[in-house]
Amino acid sequence: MNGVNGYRLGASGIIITFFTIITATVLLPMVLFNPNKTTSANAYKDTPYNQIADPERGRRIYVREGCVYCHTQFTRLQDRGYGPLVKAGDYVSETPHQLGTARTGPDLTNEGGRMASEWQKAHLIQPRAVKPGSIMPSFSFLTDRDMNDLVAYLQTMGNGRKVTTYVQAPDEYEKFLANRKVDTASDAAANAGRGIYTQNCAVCHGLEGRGNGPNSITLEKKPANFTRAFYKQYPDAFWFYRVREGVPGTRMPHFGEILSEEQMWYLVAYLKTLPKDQEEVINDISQLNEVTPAVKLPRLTNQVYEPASGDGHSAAGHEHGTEGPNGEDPGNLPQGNTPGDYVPSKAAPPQEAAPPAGGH
Amino acid sequence: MLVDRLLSDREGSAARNFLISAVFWSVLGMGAGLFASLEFAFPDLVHNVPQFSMPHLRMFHVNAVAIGWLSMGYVGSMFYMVPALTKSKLWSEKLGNFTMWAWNLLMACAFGTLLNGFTEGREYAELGALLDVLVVVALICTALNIYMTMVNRKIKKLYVSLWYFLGALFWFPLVYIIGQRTFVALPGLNDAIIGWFYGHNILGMWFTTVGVGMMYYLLPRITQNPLYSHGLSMLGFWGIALFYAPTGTHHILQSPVPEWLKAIAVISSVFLLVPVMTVLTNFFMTMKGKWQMGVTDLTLRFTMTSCIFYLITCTQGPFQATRWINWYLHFTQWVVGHAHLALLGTFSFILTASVYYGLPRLTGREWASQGLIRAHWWLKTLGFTLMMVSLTTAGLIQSAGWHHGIPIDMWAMELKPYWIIRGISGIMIVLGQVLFAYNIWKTVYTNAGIVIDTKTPTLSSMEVKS
Repeated sequence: MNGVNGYRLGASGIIITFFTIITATVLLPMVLFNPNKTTSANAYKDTPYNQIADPERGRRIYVREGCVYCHTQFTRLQDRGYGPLVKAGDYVSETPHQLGTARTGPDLTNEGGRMASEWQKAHLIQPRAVKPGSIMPSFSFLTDRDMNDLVAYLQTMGNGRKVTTYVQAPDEYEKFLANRKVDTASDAAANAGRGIYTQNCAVCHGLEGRGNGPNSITLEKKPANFTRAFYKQYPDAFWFYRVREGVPGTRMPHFGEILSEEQMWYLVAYLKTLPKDQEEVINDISQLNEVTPAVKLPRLTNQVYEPASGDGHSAAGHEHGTEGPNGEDPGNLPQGNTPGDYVPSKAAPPQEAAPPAGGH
Repeated sequence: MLVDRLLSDREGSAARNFLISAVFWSVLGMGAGLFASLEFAFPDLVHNVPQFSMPHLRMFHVNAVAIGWLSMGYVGSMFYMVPALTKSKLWSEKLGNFTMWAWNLLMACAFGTLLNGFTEGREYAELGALLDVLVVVALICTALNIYMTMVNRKIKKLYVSLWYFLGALFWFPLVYIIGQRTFVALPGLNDAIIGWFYGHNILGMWFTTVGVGMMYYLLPRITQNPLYSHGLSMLGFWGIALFYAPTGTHHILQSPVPEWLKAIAVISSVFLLVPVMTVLTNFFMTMKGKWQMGVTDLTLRFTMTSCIFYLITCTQGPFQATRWINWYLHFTQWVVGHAHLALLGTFSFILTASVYYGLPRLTGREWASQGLIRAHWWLKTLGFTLMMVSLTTAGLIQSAGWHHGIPIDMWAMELKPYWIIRGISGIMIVLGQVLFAYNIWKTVYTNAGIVIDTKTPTLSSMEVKS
């Protein structure tokens, strides 16, 4: 390579190499790779959700707030618990793509329907209130409309499940419910449960049920704070299930091996008295025995934003979607709060029963 | 006249202004990275300030260090290296200074837009449409300037650094234009394919090519050793030209893109070992007999550190681009560590060396403080090592979590110590960079910089032996 001719050769080499590569890896895929849109694709553009809030705008907020830096939108063969494997056709209308490269948080491919909209909203406002230990930033600066649209978008993601119930106790617990001899609504039963609680539960959950018992210091996954309003919606059977079988993934033991059935029902009666309208938060040991003003969470219901099966629900959801639930009186119990509403629907596919995070 | 002041045609002014602006944006960019990293460790650090939410900080961090610090520094370095290598003046200092202002304007707009969430939502291509146009204009001005300097050269033979600079200035504007997808809307996966073609080639066809060209310039210059082999350097150059461009798809190796594209990406990723090893053999053989100089010559020390980090990052890269390793490591902080190893460990170090080498020759003033340079090296090297270790470990914990299918809630909290360590490492790095900026300010803008003779040091001859 001497002289000017050598450099001309070199320069044309650079140009030819580069355009060959562009042809092979940029233009060729455009020509050869045109998957057809699948039914499992995220239908944020044309969905019943847009009667309630605007998922298309929600996607723009997803992009604007940079969710992609911590959340991916594709499931892989080796991922467990994130729903069906994605197909090439799922992404036809995803522009700009939000596949993502890092999972600091969970995958969101099939997030729609996994959690209730109100949970999602609470999670955006203060993630650590509904998911202890999460490092997601708080997006409390979003306007109510932004947040509703974003949640509507999240609810369109994946295979179009609907939130109809929260996590449920297994079917056999209906039998326990039918056979119970304790009136869990009575003060007497709650008083009887208090002693059992003090002896068995207070060491982790604390005397006031704030999740700040002495043992909680050493636990990586902190014990549940029963003062959280979230627990008001637990039906008796679910309390009983948690007490009897513990909480998977935590140190919560199986009290079914220690307590009798009757004792556990007394305990349930007491536990039901613990949730407050506003959670009493304990972040670290120095705050013990101090009541700090808590984050005001939206009321949890299970119907907002979901394209309802009936018109009545849809209308109710619409109001929530536009007005936002923040202005409502948090003292009101959610509509679906009576135990009767919580009897799990047998037809519900198993993946609908997602655990409420931090709900142990 | 103000215009004459702003668009000075004094020799070396464009290079000097570019290098100083680059350091300014590096402090802001790295500071944003530090802020974001602290929010990993302490997620409730700020509330209700959208500009300081972690994703916004990250957007600005990436763009400020890539387009601001590294790219501006690269252009500044080329503006003094190319005249020195061709023994001719820069074609137009005025155009150079105009480019510098355009670039600073673009970065100022990036600061305003990205922190407020005005983004195109594509990783590494977040800048809005107008700013994309501005980047392309700035790049074309730079390319024109360098190419014309090259045409007017007084040395016929092109040293290998010039090959790299010429290649980079041809490739990068094209890669940038293709990669932005500003005025087209492609279906999702095609968008991703082009996105990662761009995302990887901003590294391969710009940061690597210019960075390696700078190493080729600085090593023989500082050590006064002739380059070990001109033939090897050509092999390295053509290897990079051939194998770097198609590797992008290895970023989405597990998504449903066509298998043949993945195969091309993986194979060329592994083949990248050839040019990398060639280049590094050349560097290390050039260092022969001069390794002890790194003890006293701090510019050389930065260059050597950069070469060693280049060895590590380029061994890691092909390794994690293979399918089964990618299967385990993808989506984790390991990858973040790798990205920092390339951009912070390798290219930021070589650019720092270039600033330490170039600024005294451009301003005619010796560095005000050698102690500050030494502190900068220690803070940056130790800080970066700490960051690398913590991110890699955190990545392995995450990998294990995903691989065993354990829900993220159950192991995410285990990462907290590593977030904190990374925050500490970030404090060290940013502190080092602040000392760097302070040293520059003292040298250039106060009387502390000792004036040295600067007859024509930028144009002194470069021994090219082949």
